[in-house]
Amino acid sequence: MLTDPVLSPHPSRADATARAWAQLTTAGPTLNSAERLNVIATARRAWDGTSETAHGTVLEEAAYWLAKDAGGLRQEIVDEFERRGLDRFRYLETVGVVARLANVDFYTRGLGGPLLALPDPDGTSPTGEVHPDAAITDGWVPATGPLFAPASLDALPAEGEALRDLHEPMYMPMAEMGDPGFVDVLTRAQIEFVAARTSFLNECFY
Amino acid sequence: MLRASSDALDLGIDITAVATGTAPAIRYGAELASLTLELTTNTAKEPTAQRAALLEAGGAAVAERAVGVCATFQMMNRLLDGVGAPVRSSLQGIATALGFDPAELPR
Repeated sequence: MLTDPVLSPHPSRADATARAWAQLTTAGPTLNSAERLNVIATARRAWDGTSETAHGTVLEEAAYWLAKDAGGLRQEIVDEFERRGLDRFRYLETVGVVARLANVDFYTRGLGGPLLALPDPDGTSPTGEVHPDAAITDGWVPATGPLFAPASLDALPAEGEALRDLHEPMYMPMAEMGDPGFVDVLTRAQIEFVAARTSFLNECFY
Repeated sequence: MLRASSDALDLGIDITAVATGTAPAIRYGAELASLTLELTTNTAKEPTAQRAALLEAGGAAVAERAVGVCATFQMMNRLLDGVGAPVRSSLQGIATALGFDPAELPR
């Protein structure tokens, strides 16, 4: 899917990116395909600088915040989103779309290829699939237990699966996660320096 | 995990490089730091020069892998900030080492 990048993607990451893009651009559990494409377009405007403030519908406002300054979000802001009509499941799906889009778009841009082109909406409707036991636990969104990174979207099972499908080839196999001596083309120390420096620059403290 | 990896393998990495952006004592440290900064903070452009520098130092596979890791943490940062995940108390020592007062972290 990546067109003429300066650096060729690893095959496993090219495949994961293609799967993520196909999943992102169709309907999800609570957002239809047009709404997800709108979230994507809004996030891209935040990153490319064509939109410098959060405005528009509450869905667009949430997408902008998540793209541009997720570390600046607070409980009160998410409460206000809900008061204006973006319930916690739709907000959670928006988080997942912007987050996975960030992985796809930063990867593509970093490799030196053009961003993947937005398709026309495919007319699909939300699936309505939510986890039956989902509830607010220790964060702002419904979850299936205490929030930890790979399971943070699991209140929307298909979104949780999509997250892990992208996370593992992009970062490292889950089975290797506890090994401080893991090495592929980078050492674990090199991987974790890039990860930690990225998080610091994004003012993310997890 | 940077500190865990450094300690486990006795690498002696100064984790304050995460905050200062100075090159850590790892192979391609300067190039990795430079690429990460540009890709994260200049979101409207390609990191052309920084990518080229890492490509020259480490080769295409290293540069591609580094871009993938940085991109992954663009995802994870937005995810964890967006869902309001609490900062675990076990991370407070690292926060202190990086110059933050744990009591003032937002969540």
